[in-house]
Parts: sequence; C-alpha cells; structure tokens
Amino acid sequence: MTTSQPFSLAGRVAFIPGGYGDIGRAVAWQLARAGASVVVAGRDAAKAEALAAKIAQAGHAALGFALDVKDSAQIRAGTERVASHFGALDLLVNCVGMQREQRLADVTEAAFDEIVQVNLRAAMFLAQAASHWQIAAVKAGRAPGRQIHVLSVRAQLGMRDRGYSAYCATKGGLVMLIKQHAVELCNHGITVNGVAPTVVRGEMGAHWLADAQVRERLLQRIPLGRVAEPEDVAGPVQFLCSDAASFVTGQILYLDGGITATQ
Amino acid sequence: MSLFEDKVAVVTGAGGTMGRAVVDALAAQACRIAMVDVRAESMQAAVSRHGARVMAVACDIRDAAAVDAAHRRIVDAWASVAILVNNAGVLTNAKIEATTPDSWREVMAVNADGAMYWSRCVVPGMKSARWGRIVNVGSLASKTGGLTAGTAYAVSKGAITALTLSLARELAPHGITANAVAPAYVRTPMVTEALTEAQRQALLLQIPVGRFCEPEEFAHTVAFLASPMSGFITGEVLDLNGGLHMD
Repeated sequence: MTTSQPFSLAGRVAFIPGGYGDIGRAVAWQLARAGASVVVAGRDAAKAEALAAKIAQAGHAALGFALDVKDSAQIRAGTERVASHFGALDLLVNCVGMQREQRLADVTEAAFDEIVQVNLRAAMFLAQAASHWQIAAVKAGRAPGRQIHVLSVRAQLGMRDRGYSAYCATKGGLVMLIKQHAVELCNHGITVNGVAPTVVRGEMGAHWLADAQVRERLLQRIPLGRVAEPEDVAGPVQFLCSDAASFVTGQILYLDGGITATQ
Repeated sequence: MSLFEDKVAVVTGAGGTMGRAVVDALAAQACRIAMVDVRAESMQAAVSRHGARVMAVACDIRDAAAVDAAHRRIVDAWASVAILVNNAGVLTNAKIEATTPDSWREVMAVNADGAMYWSRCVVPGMKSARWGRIVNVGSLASKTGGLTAGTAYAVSKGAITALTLSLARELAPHGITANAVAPAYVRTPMVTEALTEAQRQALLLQIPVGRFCEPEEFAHTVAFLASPMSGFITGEVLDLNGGLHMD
C-alpha cells in the first residue's frame, strides 16, 4: 500500500455481476478509474457488452458478458471466463438484487423463492465461485482478494406499510452470509464486507422519487436531506476493495445519510 | 489524485503513533494539518517531514479554554477547520476495582471531554462552509466492554460512539458528517506493545485475520471517512478489527 495512493486498485481484476444497473454502473466506472480491470455481467448481454465497450473506449480494461445468476453453472463458468481473460479474479462486487413488492397476506411462493434465489442464493454461489480463484491466487503469491455485496438498509430495518418480506429477509440473510464467509476466508487474507445503501437515485429507486409526497416523507427521514447517488455507493466500494481496508472484514457499511444512526 | 484540495484538518493526539499515521495520510492527500498534542516535542519530526503543510499546536485538550485558544490560532493562521479527527486518547487497562476516581477522570477528560471541546469549536466554521467532516476514534472496547482494556477506557469510547451519533443527527442538515472508526489492537506502544506476551498470543489466535492492525490501515480508514468518497455516510461506526467483532 502506498501512502499517496491508498485507494488505488491498479493491477486488480474486478468481477461485477449486476454491473450494468445504476449502482453497478457507477461501481464499474469507479473501479476502472481506480486502475482495476473490470468485468460487467448480467442477464442482458447487450447491456453488459455496451457498458464494457464504453469503459474500454475511455482507456480502461473491460469485458462484458451475459450471466444469469439463477444458474450456478453459469456463475462458475462466468468466474472462469474472468480469470482466463484477465489472469485473475481479485475483487467480487455483487450488485445483483431484485424486489417484488407483496404484502404479507399476498406473498406468493413463486415471488418469494425468486427473490431468495436472486438476492441470497446467487450471493452464496458467486462467493463460492470467486473464492475458488481468490484462494488459488493467494496460494500462488498474489495479494488477497475482496468480496463485497451490495445490501440495503432493509438488512436492518423493516419497511412500514409496504410489502417487503422477501426483500428484507434476503438482505438480512446476506449480513450473516458475509460474516460466515469473512471467517471462512480470513486465513487467506481475503476480506468479505457489505455496503448497505438507502434509496439510490436510478431505476430501482425511481418509484420512491416519482411521487412528491412519498419523496418528501423519505427526504425528511434522511438526515443529510437527499437520497444516495450511485457514486455514493461506488466510493465506499472502492475503499473496501483497496489495500487501505485490509483489516476490515465481516462488516456492513451503511450508506444511508444517517437513517440507521437516527432511528 | 488529491482528495482534499488544501482543506484544513485538525488531528488531535498527532504526536502518537496513530496520530502520526493520520497526519501522513492526510498530508499525502494535500490537506493542511494542524497537529494538536500536549507534548510539543512529539510533533517535531512531522514538522520536518511535511514543512508548511503542517502546524504544530501544543494543547492540553482536557482544558476547554486551551482548546478554544488553539482553535483560534489555527483559524487565524489558516482558515476554518473543514476536517476534525478526534484521535487523542489515553488507555488504561484497569478494571473496575482498580479504577480510582483520578484515573477515571483522567481517561474521561482526554478521551471524551477533549473530543467534545474540539467538536464544539469547529462546528460554527463547518456550518458556515456547509461542509465538514468529523471523524472520531472509538474502539472495539465500547462494544465488548474491553477484552484487555479497562473500565474507564471502554466507557469513554462508549461516550465517543454517543457523541458521534449526536453530532451526526444534529449536523447532517448543515452538510457535516460525523462518523467514528472503531479500531481494535492497532500496533502501537500504547496498545499492543503494552500487552504481555501471553495476552498477545491469545489475541492473535482470537483475531480472525491473525495479526494486529497497522497504524497505516487505521490512518487510511480515517482518510476515507474524511474524504468526498464517503459523503453519504454519517452516524456510522466503522469497525476496524480484523473480524474480531461483527455486529
């Protein structure tokens, strides 16, 4: 770690599933600008490839491809593709996530299972597949990797008057997955952490901001008086990916303008 | 890339191992740093290293009037304080029956009173600028009651956590964030080198990553919380403990 560039990611390879969503896109650009080679993956090949092409045009190393995280075989193949293309997979930044709003009385098995599959099961097998390459890399003398999952303040807080059973349960489940993976990987120096934003401006948060009354109520609850920009998530992700954070593991960093601190 | 563009930072306890690392980390990001320590001689090496980018201000932070005077001196010489790092602290490992009223008062005075006095001084300038970062140094001890740390120390760091939350809640509307770093076992003379060999070995077995925290790791975490990268984080206590405690 250099003192002048403690957050540099030069020479690192980042795998970003969910990487063309609003948060993923900001993360991909931030890590690329910090010197990492970035791999963007998601269900839509065209979107993943288009973002990778833009990042490459800006002079950074980038790759994009299709990945359905519901399929563990595709996850394993995806990590193999990252490692064979760039020679390593150092940083896993799991930006995958979904929500289908259903009130308690209306929750369907199909919707609940799908959210579990995308928000929690995919995180498990992304972590497993990435750790395979990360552990091998450490044994070969490479600097230890990082795993970072994107959670939500809903990992800690229930949502009043809304249908958030599966979403809150899966984000809360991710907290324990992170703690367990942190202790299983600590002997290799690999750290595992999460970032937990509140509403982020973009597609997933759009419905919160479209209604003036809802937006006003939301902003009143956020001490900093604004919602998060995708870049507000990307900065802390860069920190957790960097050498500067090598003593931070098993932690969730809340990026919420002070919501959880003032509940 | 400079993260701080000549902003004025105050680092208390700047003459100790952790404070020196914070000064170096902020200086590398183009901050101007007012180093505060009760021991003037402890800051001389940093003055030689960083030249005009730093200012050494001898100050006993247990004394509110001394803090006011030191703050005035910094503002008069440079500008309003944009970043405050409440790093100064004393550690005692005395548990309850060995804690005397004097030692309790001493630990609370340095660790809690000093942080409050400095926060009170810098807030008006930060409010005027509509930008400020307060980074407090907490401790794992505030969450565990102190594995090896004593009663007064754990309680004083609990006060730091509450101060952080209180400042975060009150100052967010003014564009000021307040966060804390809660390190465990940073490799310093005050902390790890004061342990017995048996304590050191037992702790290394207990810490998942199997080592103590380097002062530079602590310093860069402080720099992150002081930087624009963390602009949406407030009221957080960032645990820097090698996986020793996950809450």
